[in-house]
Amino acid sequence: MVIDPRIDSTGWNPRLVTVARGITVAAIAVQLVAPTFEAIVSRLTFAIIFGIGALVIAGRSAPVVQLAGASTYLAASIAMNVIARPVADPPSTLWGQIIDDSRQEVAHRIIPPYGTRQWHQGWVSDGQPFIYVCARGRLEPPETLVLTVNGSAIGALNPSQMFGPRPQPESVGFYRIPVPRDLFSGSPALDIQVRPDNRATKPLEICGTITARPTAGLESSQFFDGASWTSPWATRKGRFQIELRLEGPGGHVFGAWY
Amino acid sequence: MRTTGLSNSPGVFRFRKELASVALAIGISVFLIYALPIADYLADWSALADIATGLAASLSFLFIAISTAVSSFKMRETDAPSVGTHRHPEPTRNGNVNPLTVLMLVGVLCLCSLEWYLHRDDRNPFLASSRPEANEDTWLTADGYAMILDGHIAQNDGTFLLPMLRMFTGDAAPEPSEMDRRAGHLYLVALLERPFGTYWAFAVANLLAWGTASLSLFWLGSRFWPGTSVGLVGSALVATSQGFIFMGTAPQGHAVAYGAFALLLVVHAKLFDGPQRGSLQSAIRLGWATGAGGLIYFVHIPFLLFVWLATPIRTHWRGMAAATLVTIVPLTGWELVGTSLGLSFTGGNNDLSREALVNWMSLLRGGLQDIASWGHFSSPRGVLIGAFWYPWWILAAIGWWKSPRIARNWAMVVLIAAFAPALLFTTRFQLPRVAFFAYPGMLLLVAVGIDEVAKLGSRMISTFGFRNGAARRTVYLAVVLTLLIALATVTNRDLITGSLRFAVNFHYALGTEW
Repeated sequence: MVIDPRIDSTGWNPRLVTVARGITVAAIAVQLVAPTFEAIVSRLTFAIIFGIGALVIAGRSAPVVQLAGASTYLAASIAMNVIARPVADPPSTLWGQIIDDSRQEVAHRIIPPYGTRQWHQGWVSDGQPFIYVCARGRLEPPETLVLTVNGSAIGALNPSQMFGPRPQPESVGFYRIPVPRDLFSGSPALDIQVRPDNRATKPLEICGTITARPTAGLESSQFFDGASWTSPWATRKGRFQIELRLEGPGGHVFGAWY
Repeated sequence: MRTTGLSNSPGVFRFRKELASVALAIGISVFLIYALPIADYLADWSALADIATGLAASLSFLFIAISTAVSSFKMRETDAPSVGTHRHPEPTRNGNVNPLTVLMLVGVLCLCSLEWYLHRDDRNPFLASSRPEANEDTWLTADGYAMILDGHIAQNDGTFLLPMLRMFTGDAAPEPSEMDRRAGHLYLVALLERPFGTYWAFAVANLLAWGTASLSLFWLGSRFWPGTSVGLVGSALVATSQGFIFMGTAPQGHAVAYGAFALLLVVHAKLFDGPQRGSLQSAIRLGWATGAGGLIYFVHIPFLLFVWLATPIRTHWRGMAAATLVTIVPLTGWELVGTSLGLSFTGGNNDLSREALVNWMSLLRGGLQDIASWGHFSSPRGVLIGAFWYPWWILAAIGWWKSPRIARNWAMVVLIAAFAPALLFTTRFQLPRVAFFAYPGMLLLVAVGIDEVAKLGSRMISTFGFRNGAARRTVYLAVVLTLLIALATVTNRDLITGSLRFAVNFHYALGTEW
């Protein structure tokens, strides 16, 4: 037994090509039922370039393939108009949380992936843990933020910790703060607090972004506005840019988690 | 699966033109390195070897391209050395395919789907290689250059495609972006968006292109290496190739463009190899297909280069000119329509290409030293190795050596057509993903290399007394499968060991590391 994929119209029903062409025209007609004038014009342009073009290029060869392609095209065209599903509106990848009151603070919980190969490799290689905090501009004490991890004061953010490109002085960027390895002994989670220095007088801004792989749940980031706690997951489908990294000599990153 | 030897196996004396090109390239590269002043980046043998290899490889392709162009201009139809100028053997003409082969092709398509599925979401190498642990863009967040699309984490360049997608679906008014020229890709995605959702619509478009590429390579392999398993092995290599895995679920046009490129090569072989060659109708059809491909992303540039190098210009220049002119019609047509709708068609790759050109002018004005230093700073070797790692090159070299002349020339022209824009662009960005457009030529040569190694294995087994056909076939199949699995292990290293090395190489090029 042999299968003939050539599907030459001379050996097959040549009417299939005609049917395929009819279906393609029907698909184009269906696509023109669009909600906006711009959609109609742009769809029509590409229906001619791709749809009609494909038929002309194919000629009378491979009628079964043409029929299958035209049928799929018609089905997709109908689905375009029948199914109500708007194009996704992605959550913002960069937003800011202004802190302009000494009572306000940001909290974030990270559960280091102790059991994983990635963590183990970094840890046994004497990897140094760092907390990364993203904030706007150049923070200099006393107009800065103070970092606390599991209740231990780590210190105030300062320009020597600035990391990564900042095209403008007021651009956002990471502050890279080393934390002692002792913090990780016997502690299943890191509870990180970032609050303004008591002496700060100007508003400060902590960056937020999307969250996809949180180690401690989607609501692991919290903001205290002086009266109550809210999660940026609930308000923005996001988290604060506070992360843990394990780094080797020369800044080699073994892993980054949040 | 047939293991018949390739007909028209060439002797060493047939290689003079290509070998002379390579020898000349090596000689000039060595000379250029001597012309360089002592610099930090030439401090060790590794750096010297890097720059020498990059220059030699680039110049080799340049000289082979020149000699191919000269030949295709000088030769007449009957003795031209270019692609498709000789009739192909008849076995592929009847189009019969063994049901077992059909079954294996279905298996290959399943393999494409499996790779696609396993590399979804945060395991997509395009996205993963931007995370800090890839140690390139360490200033990015832990998720890398990411966005959330329909609840899935995805490569963030997709953000710039959404306004155009919304225009096609009628969800929003047109909004100018750097992606206005890639609207063809978004039109195809718009056809899938309603049933699949935004994330999966992009991904399904990529998967369809992946499968199309696989089947196209089967067809091309069966055509240029008839009576062998090259087409089938080539299609399996596409299923596990770095480029498609890298782009698999990324909301970008690259994978669709890769698929379109292979399909265009099929269209070219169908329209320009036989009695239709050179007819105005064939040229118009080919030109239209090329323009449509160009509206997806970039395909028209390597493909037109291929067409001009692959066809005897002296005999068919009118057809080539017509195809080139017709290519412009869909491209310009959309630009006119899009402009009237409020799109801008500015920025993006046009600006970057201009910057690359300006950088080249600056290099050329700088003299020999600056040209030679390009081999270091623009990392041409890193781009080529980032797209196809060393084992692919070794197997492709074997395949090239053992291929019949027509097939060898065809594959070489595909390589040149894809590598030329990638190497020219290196003065601005090093992009192995552009060099990956060479995959139809490269992977089919690799398939020939695998076929040759497997045949060697089956011959060797007979020296141990296993002379019957079944034993030899078993060894042949075992070697082919072993090599395919070994290569797939490399491209799936991210899944197996968590290492992002090959994804990083494909994303950023190799630099000067070996």
